[in-house]
Amino acid sequence: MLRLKLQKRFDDFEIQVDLKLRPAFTALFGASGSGKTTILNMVAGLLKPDAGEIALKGTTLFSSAQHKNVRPRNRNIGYVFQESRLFPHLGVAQNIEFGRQEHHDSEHRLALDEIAEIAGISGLLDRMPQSLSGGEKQRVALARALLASPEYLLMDEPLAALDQPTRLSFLTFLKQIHERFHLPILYVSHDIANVINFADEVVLLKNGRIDGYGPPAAVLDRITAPPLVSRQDIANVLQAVVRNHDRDRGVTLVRSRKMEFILPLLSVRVGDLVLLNIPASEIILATEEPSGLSASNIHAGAITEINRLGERVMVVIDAGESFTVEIVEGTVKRLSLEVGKQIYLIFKASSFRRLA
Amino acid sequence: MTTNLQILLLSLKVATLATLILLPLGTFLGWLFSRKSFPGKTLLEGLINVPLVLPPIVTGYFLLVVLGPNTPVGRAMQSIGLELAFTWRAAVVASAVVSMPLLVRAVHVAFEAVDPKFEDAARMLRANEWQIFFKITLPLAANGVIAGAVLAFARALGEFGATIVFASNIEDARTMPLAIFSYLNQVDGEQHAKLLIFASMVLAYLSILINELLLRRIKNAQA
Repeated sequence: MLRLKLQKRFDDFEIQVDLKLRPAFTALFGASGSGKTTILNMVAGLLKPDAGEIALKGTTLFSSAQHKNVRPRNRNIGYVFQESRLFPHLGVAQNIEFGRQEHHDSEHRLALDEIAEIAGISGLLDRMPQSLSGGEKQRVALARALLASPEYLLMDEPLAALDQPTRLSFLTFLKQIHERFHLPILYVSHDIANVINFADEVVLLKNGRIDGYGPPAAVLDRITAPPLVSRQDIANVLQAVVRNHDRDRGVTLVRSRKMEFILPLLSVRVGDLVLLNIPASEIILATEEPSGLSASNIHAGAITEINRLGERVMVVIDAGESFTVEIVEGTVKRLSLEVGKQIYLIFKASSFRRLA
Repeated sequence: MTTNLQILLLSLKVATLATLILLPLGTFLGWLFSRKSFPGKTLLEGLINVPLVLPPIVTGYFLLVVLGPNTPVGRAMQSIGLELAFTWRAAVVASAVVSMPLLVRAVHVAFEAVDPKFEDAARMLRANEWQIFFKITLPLAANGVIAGAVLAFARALGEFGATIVFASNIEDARTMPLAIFSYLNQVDGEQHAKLLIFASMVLAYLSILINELLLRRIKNAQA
C-alpha cells in the first residue's frame, strides 16, 4: 500500500493529493501539466513536497509533521524515466548491474542473465546504449530498475518515444513482470487508449487534484473526450501460439490461452509466439449465431461491462479472453445489450494486426 | 652550470606537480561551482579567476605577502623544514595558482554539460553521493577535466612572472622560461636559448593539440 498525502505549490499551480494506492498496476492519467511527473518525483524523493506524508507498506518515507525525508536511495523504489536515462558511458550489462543489490534479502532478487532473459535483451548485453532502439532502451531501463530489487516501481511515460506496435508489446511484457514479481507499479501516462487495457487501477489527475480512483471500468465514465482520449482506437492485445499453416487456404491457425483464431497466412514458424492487436472498433457483435458470413472467426461470449467514454460506448465481453468492443449508443438500444447477455463476437481475419 | 636537459626536466617536474596538486582541488571547485549554491560563491569564483587577468608579477607578489619567509604560514613551513619561498617548491605553487583558473573553468563547463538527470537515475538505483560522483558525473565529464588539466599543465610550463618573484631566478628554481630569460640577458646567450625556445614551442603546441582533440571528442559525444 502506498499512502500519498502531498502538497506542493508552484507559481501558478498547486498539487494537492490525498490517496491510498492498493498494490496493483496503477495507471495515473492526466493531461500534460496536470502534475503527474511532479507526483512521481515526490514519491521517488527527488522532489520535496511542501507538506504531507508518504508511506510505503507502513514505512514512512516523508512526513512534514515528523520532519522526516528518506533519501531516494533508501526508499526501495524503482524509477523508469521517459527518456530511458541509460548511462551513456556504460555498456548495457554494466547499466543493468549498476543498482544490483548484493546483500539485499528481497524475494525479488534476480541474476543479470535471468533478468536479461525475461526482458528479452540477452543479445544486447555487450552493446552500448547509443546503439539501441527506443524500445530496447526502455527494456534495458526496466531490467536495470528491477535488478535493484525495488518494492515499488514508478514509470513516467516510458513509451512516449515509441511506435504503436512497440508500445503494446512493451506493455504486455510489463504486465507479465508485474504479475510474476507481484511488483506494484505506478504508471504515468496520457496514453489512455493503450494503457487502460493493462491497468488494474486508474487514478485520474486534473489540475493537480485527484479526479477519480478505482478500477478502469469505474472511472472510464469520468474520462471525458479530449484532451485525455485521443481518437486512437482502444486496442485488444492477445498473445497466441502459431498452431499450423494451411497454405492451400492461405491461412494460419493460432491459439491464445483459451481461444483459436484463423488469420491470413503468417510468415512465422509453428510454435512461435505472436502478439496480436485487434482494434476495439473492428469487432462486430451479433445477438444470434451468424451463418453464411465470410468472416471465419466467430466466438460466443457474455457481456461483463458496458462503459461510456464520452460519446463512445465500450462493451467488455468475456469469450474465454476478455475483449473490449467499441459501438455507438444506438446499437446498445437496438440490440438491447446489457451486462450478462450472451453475444457473438465476429472477427475479420484481416483486422488482426501482428505486433511481435 | 645546469644543462638544458636538467632545466627541461625541472620544468616538467614543476608543471607535473602543479597539475597533480591542482587536479583534485580544481575538480572539486569546478564541481562545487556547477552543482552547488552557497553564500560567497561568486566571491570565491572571482578570487580563483583573478590570476587569469592579474599581471603574474602581482600574483607572485601576493604569494610572497601571504606565504613568504616572514609570514605566519612561511614560518610554520620553516619549522617543519619545508622552505617554500625562493625554492623550486615556490615555482610549483606559483604555477599552480596561475594555472588554476584554466582548470576550474574547464571542469566547471564539463560538469555543467553532464545532465543531472543521470545523477537522479543513479540515485534511484541506490547509489550514494560519492558513488554518483565517481561512477557517473566524473566519468561523463572526464574528457573535459583532462582537457582542462592539459591546458593547466601547458600554462604551468610557461609560467614566468609569478615564479620569478616568488621563487626568484635561482638555479634551484630555474625553469625553462626563467632560463631563457637569463640566456637572453647574456651576450651571445641567444645561441644557448634556442634549444629551450624550441622545446617550449613543441610542448606548448602538443598541449594545445591534445586539448583540441579532447574538446572535439566531447563535441562528437554530445552530437
